[in-house]
Amino acid sequence: MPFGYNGKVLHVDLSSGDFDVEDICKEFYRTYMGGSGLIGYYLLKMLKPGIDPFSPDNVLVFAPGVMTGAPLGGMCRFAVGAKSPLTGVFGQSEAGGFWGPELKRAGFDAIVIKGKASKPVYIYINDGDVKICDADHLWGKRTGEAQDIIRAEQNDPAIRVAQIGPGGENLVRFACITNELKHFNGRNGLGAVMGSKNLKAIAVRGKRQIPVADRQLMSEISKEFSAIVMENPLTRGLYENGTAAAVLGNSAAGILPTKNFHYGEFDRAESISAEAMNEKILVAREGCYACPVRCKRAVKSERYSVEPRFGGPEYETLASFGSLCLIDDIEVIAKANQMCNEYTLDTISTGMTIAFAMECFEANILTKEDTDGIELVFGNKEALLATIEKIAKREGFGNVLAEGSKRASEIIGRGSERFVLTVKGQELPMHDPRGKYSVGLAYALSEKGADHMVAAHDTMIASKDQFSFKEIMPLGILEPEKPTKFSPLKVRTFAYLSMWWSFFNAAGICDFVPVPRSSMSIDDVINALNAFTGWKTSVFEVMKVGERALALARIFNAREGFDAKDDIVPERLHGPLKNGALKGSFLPKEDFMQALQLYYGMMGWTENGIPTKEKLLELGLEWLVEG
Amino acid sequence: MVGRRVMAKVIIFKGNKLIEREIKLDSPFPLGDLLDKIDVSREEVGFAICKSDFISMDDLVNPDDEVRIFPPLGGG
Repeated sequence: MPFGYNGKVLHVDLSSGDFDVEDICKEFYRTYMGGSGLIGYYLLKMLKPGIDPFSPDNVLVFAPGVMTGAPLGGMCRFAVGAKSPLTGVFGQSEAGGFWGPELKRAGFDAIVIKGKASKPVYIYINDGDVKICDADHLWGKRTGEAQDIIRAEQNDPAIRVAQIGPGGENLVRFACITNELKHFNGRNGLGAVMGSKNLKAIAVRGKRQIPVADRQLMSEISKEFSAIVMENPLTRGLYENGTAAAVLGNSAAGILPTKNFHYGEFDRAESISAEAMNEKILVAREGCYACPVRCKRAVKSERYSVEPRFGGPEYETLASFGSLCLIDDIEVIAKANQMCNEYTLDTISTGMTIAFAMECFEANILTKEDTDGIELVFGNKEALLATIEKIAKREGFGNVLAEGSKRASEIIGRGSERFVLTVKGQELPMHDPRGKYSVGLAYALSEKGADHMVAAHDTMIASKDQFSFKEIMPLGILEPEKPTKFSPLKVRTFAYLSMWWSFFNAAGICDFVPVPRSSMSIDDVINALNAFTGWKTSVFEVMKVGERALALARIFNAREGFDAKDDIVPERLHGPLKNGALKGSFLPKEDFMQALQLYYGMMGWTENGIPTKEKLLELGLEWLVEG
Repeated sequence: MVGRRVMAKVIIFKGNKLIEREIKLDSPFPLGDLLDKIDVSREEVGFAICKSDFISMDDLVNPDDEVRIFPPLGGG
């Protein structure tokens, strides 16, 4: 019996209704661990290049990591992957919550789903037993009601449900997947892939204990981490203010995306800040499985019928519906957040796509005749809410925006493409790279399209006197670099941290737990991994796991024709910030392109951004070279 | 001759608030020493911005400058 994982992957064919269980050896877990590593393996093995992401040929993988379910804070994450209908390349998105640990307690380390059901279904896994259940009666229902019905009809209120709402059913290209109504695999439109397979939900119940190799050591690490949560300013800040704290900080620093990335400072940032949330709508601080950080929020607004069961807006959502669209009412943002949660729309892409349309409206490219009578101007709260509804239902103009801003621009034409801010077709998250250059590298290089969760942001590790920086020195990062400077040091730091972050994903570790974003030391992360699995692993081995997962995704994208030409950021980011503390700052294009080339070289990739044969062999991926 | 005494403004983002302080300076002063003067621990500072640029602890702050001080800020 292995420790820390089950050694079993569930395969489901929705076309036939058959399923079987694949036994997996220890070496596989040490090589790929789970998350994006496991997803990359199965997508490359099972998918032919060029398939339509909405066809039954697409494969959908739910993948916790080796550490998911460990009795330790932050060990809750799972990733979902498929070919993305938004980007057309490697799709992968992580979530926290409770669903990942529950799947492992139910006996499986991952689920690989192919085919398409002839009518709506959901998969029910109960302590190793698998059933495919009718979901005709659930189709069209929002998430809250659907979860209530599944729990009632299976007679178990503790079932964990990962599901889609009408946004996923209607194939909105940026539809997400929710678990527990308030945790999200947000990006890349993977909820739409579920919808294309007529798969409404995966309901899981597991009562088994996951065996821990060294329970005493695990307990010691857990106690130590819990003890420092309220002492360390980073984790204490996450508890007290959640991710929302970044709204006011980023605005003061001039890097809060405002009015579709025209500006970096929002003059009404205080009205959508953590303080505003705490004073006006916060009802509870919540957390994920076994986590003492408790960075999640539950909010309530009677004015807009916002219920705490759907959680509360994160920083990304406060910015994407707030400063980006010039909305300064936190209750409206909470309502927009809840609508997206009930319909399962990614709040980043939803906000960005609406901001794109608002800029088109401002430039008279769109008029009320195009928008079904909606006055789609920046700052119009009711227009924001009405447009979200239309997107989720693909009604009228919402049917255009449901394609995402890049495709919407191709439909609209008339020069609207200059207002599109995407990378590989995915909308930018709420961080302006003009004040933190590594984020520009992250946006360009991420195999998933623009993504802010690729490595530490420059502003996290800019001071050599500070805890966050000092704690990453064991990775070989010995000097900080200025946030607005490209240099070999900057690129090397980004390369190392992109591997460290990629390892978190593969292992199922939330990045709000380890250093540098939080307070668990590198040694404790490795010790916890050893305590859970009984392995004797090292920083070297886990960094290679992270690097391998990045290479797999890169090879997947290369098969689809994506390479260095696609590693670019929107032209707007090469122009100056128009206000704020960093007014005038920009992403210098030539230096940026040189930094990308340097990164390719450091990673053992060609000048065209593709891992070399030698690099693949060094990573133990002979099957990719031979295949 | 009397030296020029001007107020430098320091805006500190801490917890959930922006706190403004004004400090009299006769001449350019290293940021690190300025922080010592107002009892801000260097270990709590993630980065600082002055005149549209990031500055380090050794950089000089002029008497009429505005400096913004932040804890480490990341994504997520």
